[in-house]
Amino acid sequence: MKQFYGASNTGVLSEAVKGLQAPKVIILMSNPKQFEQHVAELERLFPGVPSIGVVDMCYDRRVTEEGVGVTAYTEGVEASTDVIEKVSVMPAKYIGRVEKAIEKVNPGRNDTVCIDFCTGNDACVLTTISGLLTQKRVKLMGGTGDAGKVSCNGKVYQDACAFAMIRNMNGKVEVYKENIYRPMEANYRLVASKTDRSKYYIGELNGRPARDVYMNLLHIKEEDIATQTFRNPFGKINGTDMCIVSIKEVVGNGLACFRQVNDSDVLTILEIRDFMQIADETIANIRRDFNKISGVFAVNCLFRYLYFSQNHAMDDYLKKMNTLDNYCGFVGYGEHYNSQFVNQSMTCVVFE
Amino acid sequence: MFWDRKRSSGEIVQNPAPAVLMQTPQQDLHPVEYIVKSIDSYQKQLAENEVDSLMELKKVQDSFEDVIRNNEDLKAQVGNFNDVFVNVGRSADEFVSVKNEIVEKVEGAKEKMQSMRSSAEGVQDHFNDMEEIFAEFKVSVGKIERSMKQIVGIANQTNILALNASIEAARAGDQGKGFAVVAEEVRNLAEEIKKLVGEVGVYLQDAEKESDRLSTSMQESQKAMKLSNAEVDSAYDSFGEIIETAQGVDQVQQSIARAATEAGGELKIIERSLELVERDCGTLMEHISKASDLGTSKGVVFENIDNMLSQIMPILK
Repeated sequence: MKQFYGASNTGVLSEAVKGLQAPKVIILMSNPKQFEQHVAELERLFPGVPSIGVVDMCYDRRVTEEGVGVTAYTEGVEASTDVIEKVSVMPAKYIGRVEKAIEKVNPGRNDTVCIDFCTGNDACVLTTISGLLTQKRVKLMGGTGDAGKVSCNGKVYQDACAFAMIRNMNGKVEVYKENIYRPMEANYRLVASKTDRSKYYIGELNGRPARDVYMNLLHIKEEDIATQTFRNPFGKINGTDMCIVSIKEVVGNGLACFRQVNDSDVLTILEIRDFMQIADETIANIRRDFNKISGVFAVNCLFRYLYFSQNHAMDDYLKKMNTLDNYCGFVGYGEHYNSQFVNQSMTCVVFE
Repeated sequence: MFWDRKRSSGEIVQNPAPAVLMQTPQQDLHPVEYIVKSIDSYQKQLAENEVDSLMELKKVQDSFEDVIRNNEDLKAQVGNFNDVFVNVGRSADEFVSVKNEIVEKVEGAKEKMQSMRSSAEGVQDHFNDMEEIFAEFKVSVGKIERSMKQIVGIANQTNILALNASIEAARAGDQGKGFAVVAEEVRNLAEEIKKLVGEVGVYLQDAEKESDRLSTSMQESQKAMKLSNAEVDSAYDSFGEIIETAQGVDQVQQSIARAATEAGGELKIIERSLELVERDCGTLMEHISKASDLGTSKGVVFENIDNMLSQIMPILK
């Protein structure tokens, strides 16, 4: 299989797809103003080719912030795309579409991935489809897009999750999650309660107001909470695994997050590590699993993008990741890794 | 859907269909809605119970962390005690080395006293020799005096003889003149001898007097020396007592060392007990951590149940 990536900083789609021939599936990454236009134009340029689209920044060796980017897979690929609608209330209603898409590519062993773009209620969507994907041996990676819109096969949807089942006919696929945080030395264990999952809200931690607990443990002021999450997000503990939960804002005595937190969830506070060293570890892990790489498609969290950029390290990070062949992707608001919905992470799929 | 299946299976139901099955589909959903809400409520209750149990588990974990911390403190204190006892043992050993030093020095002093005593005995021997010499000296002086008296007697006789000879010479006239001169010379010589003997006698008396004084002085020295020897003997005996007393330190040191060793042994047992407590607490903490981890993975299950349950009613409606 081959992975194509093209981009236009000025939002000219024809420029982004220059050189793309006979794509089997296309991934569009556009901007809020031109999304509908780009979706329609892509359908005109490649009629009938399965596609999904999202509103977000994209990158290969550098970030395209306001333009448009296209990733496509050609040769040795089976792909099928569709959309789950009404994700905020009943994604399960459309589970049949997922089943059909899977049937269409007929997954083998470790050769198929589902790449998804979601407008919200990500955890619910992943819960709904992960059982099926696991049963069919399909890996998943994806993320949350901007503007509450996604596209699928030339149509724009709101409150939806567009997905593409991509089977690599010539090798395996694997998904990875990069976490640049670790639990603080004190290894706090904070039991969440008085949560509101619809608002991603945490009322209390260990029976005390969540806002006060976070402030007191980190010795910070209330006005610093929203930026402190760059360095010290929450980690939601799941057995031996961990998913990162970013703090959005203070609401009353509690905290609103970018991910659902439920009563009885156990959180810890994380601290940032040397992200360049972590990138080296990610590369080493991928190199250990793959002799030859056709391409890597990744979603990097917006918070990582902001933090790396503040540290003038985004270009260096992308340059490093591009030592893997064909590293490209988009900047998301939340990242998907198999059944997990995480924040402040990088998830990616690697095609052999 | 299952309510449709129920309706289609109406054929095999002998009794008339219940009233609820005759209602409109919207009305039929009420029991389902009730069940979903009940499940949702139970799920929430379960989550609340889980929060409580996790909090309790956390308290248990915190308590055991305290236990482990206290145990570590106790172990450190026991370790300190052990160090103290080791130091006590070392100090007791130092007693012995100090004692050995004292004994060594006292032994040295004893040796010096011994040689002093030997020297004093030597001096005493010399005094005794001198006393004998003085006695012999006195005897010799007595003999000399006796000899001198004899010499004076002989000189007197010689003088008389010389006088008689002079008289006889005078009687002989000119022929006796020469003899008279000789007799006179003899008489003069006898006088001279008497005079010299007299002088020697004076010297001898002086020597006797000096000798007596020296003898007296020597006797006093001897007395002083005897007194000194008695004191040396007394000091010598005291040194012996010092050494004997110092040897008692050995017993004290042995008692202290034995007590310190025994205490150290007891502390080792305590330390081992504390280590066992630590190990057991560690194992317990591992179990608690595992239970806690299991609790955290339940959160994902709750979330999944919640996510799935939340879709039932919208789908049914």
